[in-house]
Amino acid sequence: MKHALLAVLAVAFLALWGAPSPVHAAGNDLGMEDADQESTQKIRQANAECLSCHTSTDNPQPVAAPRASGPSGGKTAEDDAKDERKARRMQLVIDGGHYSGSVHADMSCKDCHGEPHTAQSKSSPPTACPSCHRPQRGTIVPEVARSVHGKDKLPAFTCYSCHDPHNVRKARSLGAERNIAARDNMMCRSCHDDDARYALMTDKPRPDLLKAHRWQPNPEMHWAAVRCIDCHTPEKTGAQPSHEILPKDKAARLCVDCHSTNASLLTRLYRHEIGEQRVNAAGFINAYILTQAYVVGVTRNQYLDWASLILLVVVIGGLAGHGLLRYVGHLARKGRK
Amino acid sequence: MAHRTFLFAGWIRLWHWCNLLFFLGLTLSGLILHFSPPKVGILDYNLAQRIHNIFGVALAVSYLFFVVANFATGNWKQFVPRFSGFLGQAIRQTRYYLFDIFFGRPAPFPTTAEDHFNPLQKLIYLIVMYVMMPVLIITGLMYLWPEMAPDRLFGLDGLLPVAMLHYIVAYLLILFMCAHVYLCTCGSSITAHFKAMITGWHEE
Ligand code: HEC
Ligand code: HEC
Ligand code: HEC
Ligand code: HEC
Ligand code: HEC
Ligand code: HEC
Ligand code: HEC
Repeated sequence: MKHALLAVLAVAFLALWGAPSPVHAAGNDLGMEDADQESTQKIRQANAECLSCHTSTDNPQPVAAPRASGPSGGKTAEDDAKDERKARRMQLVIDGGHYSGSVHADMSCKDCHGEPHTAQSKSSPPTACPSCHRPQRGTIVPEVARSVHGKDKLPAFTCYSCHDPHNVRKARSLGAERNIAARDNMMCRSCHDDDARYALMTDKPRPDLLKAHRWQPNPEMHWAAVRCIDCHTPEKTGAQPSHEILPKDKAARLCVDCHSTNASLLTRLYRHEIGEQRVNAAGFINAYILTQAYVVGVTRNQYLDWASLILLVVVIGGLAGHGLLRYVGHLARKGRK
Repeated sequence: MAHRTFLFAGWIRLWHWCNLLFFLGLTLSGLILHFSPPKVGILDYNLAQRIHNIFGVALAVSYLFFVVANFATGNWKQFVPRFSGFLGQAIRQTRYYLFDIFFGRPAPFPTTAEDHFNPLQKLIYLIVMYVMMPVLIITGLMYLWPEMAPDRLFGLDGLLPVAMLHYIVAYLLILFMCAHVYLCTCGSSITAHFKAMITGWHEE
């Protein structure tokens, strides 16, 4: 009996152990081995070697972005723009500290870069996110393609336009929702608030973000607390937000989408907290938000609302009763006369 | 019609009706902001918020005017209850409201040019105008510029106490307004007090 139980447990354990995670399965396809202690150590060492040249902090003489090559004379404005684009993309300095804290810290640089500094590596781009993340291919890739950026076929608009390939982190690991908002909004603002970077993508003038969001009070305060994608993508249930950035006329602009007790914000930005008790002992609805923000219309206190109602009934009732008695007294006096 | 006294100077009347306008706007929009119903007529959340901000600032300005004018004209004295024997006076006035008024007996503290308000009225107005209104306006301005609020308090958002205080005081003021309007029907005729605030003349 005992043995049988152990056997079942062992089988279950092996099944779980052996069950390939989606990413690892993808990794294996690419010839990556499952990480163990020793190889992880080796990988980190090898990465540190690369980083000895490629970080700004560890190296007193950091690798500089090379000047765009080519004859300096006879260039058109278009050539200049192209050169600038190239120079910008060729930022050879990455942040080693960020990398070692990211989800890919235990991966070799070569998993994405192949053998660098070769003629071949220079002509071919690094491995793209979806080549490894196959399960996401079916969802994120079409969403990005359907988004305004994908539809407009912006040149070189890829996953990395938003995600720093050397600093991918899961939203959950960032802790407070404000940190998530700060990180996610920086993705968009590093381009939408940056003329140079924006110009690499399009010739159209960059719309001013603050001007575009004048319809909302205090946009900067809002952006510290909510993500751009909370308004600019369709609502989607599940752990992952949608990647489909909608055209501006389809963006959410209803305040009550967020400022109400059943706001969509709660299933989006605050989705990690959604399991928590909605009303706490002190009577606050959506109390888990209170550690981060008091949001008018969302974090109401039930007891206070009830007290308001009762007080209103008492006051109006009292006044009406008083009025009635006055009227009765008035009638009685008239009758006596 | 026998007796007419001039009570309310032009600026008081003007301020009073402006105050009413701002208060009504703020009450309606404030309730929408707090309870966030889907939509009330054309009043959606965005419009409510705008109205609330504009009227809120207007109320603050008109309040400032009230305080300055009150001190400049000496009208502030009307709001200060006489401290000696106040308790007895307050009890007499309460008895009037809860009892004598139903029998048509005269009010214990009739309105005169020197004394506009009865002792209870003075106390309530003093609290409303010099305690509650400042709290309401200061918390409202903090709400308008949230960076003025403490960032964090006891691990919760620092705006929480500001918002709660703003709501509670505003709500009490709404209740005060209901009572205020009702008690205005208790003059020599139902409309006497309303007329007084329009023309400035009080009629016994
Ligand atoms: C998850 C895949 C991935 C890993 C792992 C990775 N990189 Fe990258 N790296 C990229 C991508 C993608 C780009 C191109 C970014 C762009 O085009 O904006 C890039 C760009 C670079 C560049 C700039 C060169 C260029 O072509 O723009 C350098 C230098 C670099 N990586 C070094 C490293 C080093 C060193 C490591 C290991 C510590 C590393 N990378 C790990 C994906 C990766
Ligand atoms: C001795 C310093 C040094 C080391 C170590 C080094 N690099 Fe580089 N790397 C450079 C320089 C300089 C350039 C730019 C000149 C060039 O393109 O060859 C460069 C360019 C690159 C580029 C962009 C062009 C290309 O060839 O793809 C990538 C990607 C890159 N390195 C990745 C790595 C990785 C991954 C490692 C570790 C395996 C590494 N580097 C180690 C100095 C170094
Ligand atoms: C060379 C293959 C490869 C590439 C390219 C790659 N990843 Fe990964 N990624 C992995 C592996 C392997 C893991 C699992 C790491 C672990 O579990 O320790 C991972 C983990 C992740 C995770 C955490 C997933 C989770 O549920 O734990 C995210 C998010 C992620 N990658 C995003 C990206 C993005 C965004 C890109 C493009 C910039 C990218 N990846 C490119 C192989 C890759
Ligand atoms: C327009 C900017 C943008 C582009 C382009 C983009 N992403 Fe994202 N991605 C985001 C944002 C914002 C999040 C939200 C993170 C959060 O708050 O949960 C995200 C989340 C993710 C996550 C989930 C991370 C987590 O926390 O679990 C993955 C995986 C991912 N993206 C992969 C990709 C891949 C693959 C591509 C390219 C096909 C891509 N992304 C393109 C902005 C972008
Ligand atoms: C509260 C919801 C909301 C948030 C949060 C939000 N937006 Fe918007 N955004 C909108 C709406 C609604 C419009 C359409 C405005 C209009 O039509 O005038 C818009 C318009 C835009 C436009 C188009 C401007 C133009 O004139 O072409 C851009 C770009 C944009 N937003 C980017 C962002 C970025 C980047 C962020 C994050 C920093 C962000 N938005 C946050 C709702 C939001
Ligand atoms: C690398 C640059 C870049 C990044 C990153 C980026 N965008 Fe854009 N975005 C653009 C450009 C360029 C356009 C203009 C497209 C066009 O004119 O065809 C645009 C257009 C838009 C529009 C306007 C669409 C319309 O209807 O006019 C919205 C909304 C938008 N982006 C939102 C976002 C959000 C939200 C993010 C972050 C999740 C983001 N963008 C990240 C470059 C970027
Ligand atoms: C995407 C969700 C979202 C939308 C849409 C949104 N808000 Fe907010 N709003 C928030 C959050 C979250 C806060 C709390 C910010 C903080 O305290 O840091 C906030 C704060 C505020 C505040 C400051 C008081 C407070 O509660 O902290 C006002 C006023 C406000 N919003 C009004 C509006 C109006 C008006 C609209 C519509 C035009 C609107 N909001 C749309 C999420 C939203």
